[in-house]
Amino acid sequence: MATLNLKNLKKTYANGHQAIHGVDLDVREGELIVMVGPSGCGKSTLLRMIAGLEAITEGTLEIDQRRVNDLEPAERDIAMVFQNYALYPHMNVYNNMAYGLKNRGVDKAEIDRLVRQTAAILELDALLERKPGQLSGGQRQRVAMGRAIVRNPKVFLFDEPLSNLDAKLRVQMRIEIKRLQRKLGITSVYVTHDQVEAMTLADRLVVMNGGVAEQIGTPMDIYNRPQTPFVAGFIGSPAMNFIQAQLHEGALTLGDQTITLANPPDFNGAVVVGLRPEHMHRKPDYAHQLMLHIDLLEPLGADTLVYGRIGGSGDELVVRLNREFRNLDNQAILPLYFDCDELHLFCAKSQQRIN
Amino acid sequence: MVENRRWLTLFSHLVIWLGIALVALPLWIAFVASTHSSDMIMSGTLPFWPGEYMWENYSRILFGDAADAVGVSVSTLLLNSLIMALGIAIGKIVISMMAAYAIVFFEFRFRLFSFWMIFMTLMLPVEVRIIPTFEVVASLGLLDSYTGLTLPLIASATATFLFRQFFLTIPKEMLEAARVDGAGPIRFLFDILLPLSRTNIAALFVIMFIYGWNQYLWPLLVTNDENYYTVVMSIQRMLAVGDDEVAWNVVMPATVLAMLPPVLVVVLMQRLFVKGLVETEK
Ligand SMILES: Nc1ncnc2c1ncn2[C@@H]1O[C@H](COP(=O)(O)OP(=O)(O)O)[C@@H](O)[C@H]1O
Ligand SMILES: [Mg+2]
Repeated sequence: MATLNLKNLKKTYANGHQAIHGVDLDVREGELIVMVGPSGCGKSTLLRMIAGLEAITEGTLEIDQRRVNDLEPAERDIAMVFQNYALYPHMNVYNNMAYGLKNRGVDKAEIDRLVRQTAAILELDALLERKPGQLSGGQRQRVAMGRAIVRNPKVFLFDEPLSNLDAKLRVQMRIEIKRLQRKLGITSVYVTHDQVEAMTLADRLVVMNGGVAEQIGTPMDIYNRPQTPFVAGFIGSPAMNFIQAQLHEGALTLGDQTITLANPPDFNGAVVVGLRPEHMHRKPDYAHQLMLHIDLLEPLGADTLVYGRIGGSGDELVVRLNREFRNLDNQAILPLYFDCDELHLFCAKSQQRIN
Repeated sequence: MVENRRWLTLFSHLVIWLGIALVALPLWIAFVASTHSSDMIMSGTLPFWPGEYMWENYSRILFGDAADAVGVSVSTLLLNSLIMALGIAIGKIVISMMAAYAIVFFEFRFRLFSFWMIFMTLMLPVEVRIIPTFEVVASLGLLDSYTGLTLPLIASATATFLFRQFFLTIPKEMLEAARVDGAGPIRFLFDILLPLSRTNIAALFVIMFIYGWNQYLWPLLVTNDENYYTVVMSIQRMLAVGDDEVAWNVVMPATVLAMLPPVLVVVLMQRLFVKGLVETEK
């Protein structure tokens, strides 16, 4: 078990492109941190800086309170699982797992013991003699995991390890990774662009945007209190609805309707209102109401997604209703109810949360 | 339709056999000629079937002097050719693999420049640079030596280029995984790059061995001492007898023997090719 500290880490590539604009993060022992963000936001860059595969331009990286900025990847005692697995194609599964240990001069008997033990954990026992070319995607993924686990590193790094698998296998492996990480208790940093993967795996989430960590917190924290519209829109599926509105003395004007907030923030002016699709309901058990002009229905089986807009506003909304809603009476305008506690208010100018 | 197809099959087989005959006949004639006495060949009509002088002809050139113009046995010539061909093939592979390794996997100043310099020498085959190269080799005192025979031919832009192209297909993550696994540049080269290049090396070995074996002009220039003659150039010496009659019973077995090693290399390496190809990983 180890701690990992990122102190104002910055990265500028040789071509002058600044990919990371200063990230601070303290990872506790045994914690699973998930870095999530859209493609190109710098997740891989940051992970590779931790791994030692990319030089750190500025800032300090510490593993177990020791500065490791200038150490080679192997000296940092980390292990990494790559998106394309990067298994050695000419070595069998056994040798793929043993290679890192061999290079460290671990003796043969010990290597054998560790490899077999790891293979047993990952149910790879029967595949030890196979070459990567003779394995399925899921099995290769396991070998890549095995290669990382077998060395018992201080920190595990994962760069989108599941994105080459099909949907079903992805869910399976996700659960397995979580279970393994718990069991082994190894401090881990996991990079993904998939917010479901991020929510389900993370002890704490780091939502990245344009080379900055926009918000760091537990998944539920981030779901419940996103600090910026970007985070709010990125976490949750379908994405949160945003409506341009005006807030004045506790009265919120949304299109052609006005709502009086129960706990109004001390703010007057243009705001962005966020309201999640799952927080609008058909039952009139909630304090506030808005009228939705229905455009389109998308039945998903368990739920039905309803697309539409509210009067006097151009912003498109999506609402998640249960499957019974099939718009049978052909009504074009649907009254929906919500609680003003579920509203997320952001200052339109500073893009920061205000409630 | 069926009838039609049978004629087509017959026709294509005919063409194939014709092609084979066209290529194989000269070889067969060379072999047949190598098994008859000199008189028999000189008489003008060469029999179609081998004669009974095979043992005599072959043992004579293998164990005695090859010809008056060449004062050493063909076994010596074959050995020289083998040393030269192996030296060139192995040397080329080692040098070009290392050059490609540096160009692809290391960041250094003038990297691209180095690549283009190497690439440009593609335009300079041995024959073009033969005089200056001879000058250099001569002033280094390397005439009549195996070093002189092989070294100047070892640098290879073609092989470097081929290795470079292959190395570029290796995912960057493979190198990174190896770094995380604690493999330095040397280990990466030997543990990962070399085994992955197996089929490329086999292919290049075949091509370069034959290239080295068939060198004619260069050994002709840099050897005066018969002990360093190669077999291919010696055949020419055997033929250059002026007004005397050519000793076909010597030239022909020497020719047949000179053809054997390249054939052997192709046949042996072909098995490795196929094995390598079958095992190729996705
Ligand atoms: N070697 C490089 N040189 C220059 N720019 C790079 C390099 N690698 C990545 N980048 C840029 O840095 C940004 C972040 O890349 P990356 O970390 O790979 O994003 P992510 O993994 O989040 O999709 C991108 O804009 C990308 O184009
Ligand atoms: Mg990435």
